[in-house]
Amino acid sequence: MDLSSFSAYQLIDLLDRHELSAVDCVTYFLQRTEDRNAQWNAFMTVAQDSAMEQARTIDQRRKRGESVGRLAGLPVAIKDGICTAGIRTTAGSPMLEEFVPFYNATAVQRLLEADAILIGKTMMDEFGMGSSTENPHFGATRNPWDPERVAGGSSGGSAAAVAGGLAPLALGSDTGGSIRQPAAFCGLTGLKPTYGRVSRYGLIAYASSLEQIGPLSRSAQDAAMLMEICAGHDPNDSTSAHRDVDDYTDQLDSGIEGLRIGICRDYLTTGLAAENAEALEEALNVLQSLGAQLVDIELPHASHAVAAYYVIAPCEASANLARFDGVRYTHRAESSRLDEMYSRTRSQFFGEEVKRRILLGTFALSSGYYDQYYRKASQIRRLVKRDFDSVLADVDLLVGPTTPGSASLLGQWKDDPVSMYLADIYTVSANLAGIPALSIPCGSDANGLPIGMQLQGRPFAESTLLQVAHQFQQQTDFHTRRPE
Amino acid sequence: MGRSQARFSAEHTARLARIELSSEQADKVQGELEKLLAFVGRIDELELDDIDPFYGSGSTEDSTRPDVLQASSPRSEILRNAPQTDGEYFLVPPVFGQQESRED
Repeated sequence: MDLSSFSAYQLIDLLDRHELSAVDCVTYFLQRTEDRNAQWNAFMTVAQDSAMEQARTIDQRRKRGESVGRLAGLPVAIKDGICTAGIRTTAGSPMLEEFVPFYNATAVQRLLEADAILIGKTMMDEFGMGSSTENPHFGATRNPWDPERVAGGSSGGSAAAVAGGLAPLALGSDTGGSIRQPAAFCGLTGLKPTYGRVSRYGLIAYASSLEQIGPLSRSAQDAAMLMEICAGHDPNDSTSAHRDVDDYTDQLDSGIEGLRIGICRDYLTTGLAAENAEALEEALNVLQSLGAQLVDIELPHASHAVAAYYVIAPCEASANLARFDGVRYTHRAESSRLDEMYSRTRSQFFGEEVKRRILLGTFALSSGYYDQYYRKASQIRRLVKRDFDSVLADVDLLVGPTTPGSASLLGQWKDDPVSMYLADIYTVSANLAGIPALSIPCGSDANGLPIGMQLQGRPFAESTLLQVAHQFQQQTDFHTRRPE
Repeated sequence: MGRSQARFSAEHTARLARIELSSEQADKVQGELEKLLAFVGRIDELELDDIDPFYGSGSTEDSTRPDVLQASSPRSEILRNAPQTDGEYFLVPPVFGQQESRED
């Protein structure tokens, strides 16, 4: 059986009906990973032994007639910035090359309690700082649709793993687009939940006020299932919301007739590749044919969001990454002086992009510059949020592009951080405002590469985004297309 | 914008961030950061006087838990990832002493 093109839902169905054992399922994906990972570099660490052990246990429990969790036997790949007990967690950094956490992130713990199998840890830009997963220390992840192109970032390994059929489902994290952009580049469904919807406990922090853990999957249905398991309040993350989790899967089948969809026309005319704009127009026609109403809207401050983001995120990074100083986490550069030990360790074990962002953030927060940079950027953040608040009072969701173009060539952004940052133009606003945003495939370009469409909604209205995405996926086959 | 760029000093900022830079690296970083600061300088284009900053939208409810003792993380596990310990504490180079090697 070629399990590589199955959705998580389909695999769980086979597992539940005893038509596929957990051991056979895991063996299949491990074998496929062994065959292909050298080419794609999707995984940082393959958890072969523990995955097989988990699978055997689940099969035995099923055999004995014991009840099993909802994901029993389903392999899930985890971004390497998310802590997994006993499995190396590097966050893509030489600083944490040998770091083995002793606890699970809450999202991971909930997957394990649902009897999912942790098949491995996926490649990423160092600490999530990047949009291409061309990691200078651990190698570039390649896009299964075209190995000369990037898989996107920073959750590029998770995207390549799911797109390449090395895992049916993955967790990523999204600080400024790091789930949605790789999902768009790899033809997947990727959701950044509302800030506070999924616990960040165990997510190695880059920019704490912006980031969320979320799914990369083959369909909105799979994303909905994963969210039902991972979302919800967690006493270990005081920013997680005290709010019941919706029955996302139950709501998928509701029609979208009468839903009001906001379209920002500026997005379709400025800076967007022509093929992407065409694909998006056709997708809008599909949504309209399902009874949705398209409404033109404006987001007047969207064009300043990227600049504000690249002040706020580095500021938070400069504080969060202060903990890596050679005392607690694996690597240390030797010196007889404490202060020199700190600065040598950080110089030696942080990569260039990380140092760049720490320095930018340190400067923007330094005496005399705080008001000029961090405060101003946070004021713009308020304006970006107000834009969404006012527009989403009138429409149910917004639809637009995820990225300005399809997957870029490897090396295209080398030594040009500003161009890389500008590619985040459509995604960072949702992180600044804290609203949920989802990317789904909506077409292909002339090279056969996937094109993504972004849905953004009201806070905690993941159900609406997933419902619209699912209804779109019932009418189209973009999400079932596979590379090769 | 121009004013702030002129004031950015890679060496000073690296000292604040505790990142050691060689003079060659400092020159490179100086150029890169000036470009980035010009890029984020767009935040100066808007009139922001009466706008409250927004720092993020975490839960607005206070989180409390029952006031009962809970086990903390085991010391041995926490120390396991450290570069140097004596089995009980993290070990670091001396904070005081060896003043003769200090230049500042």
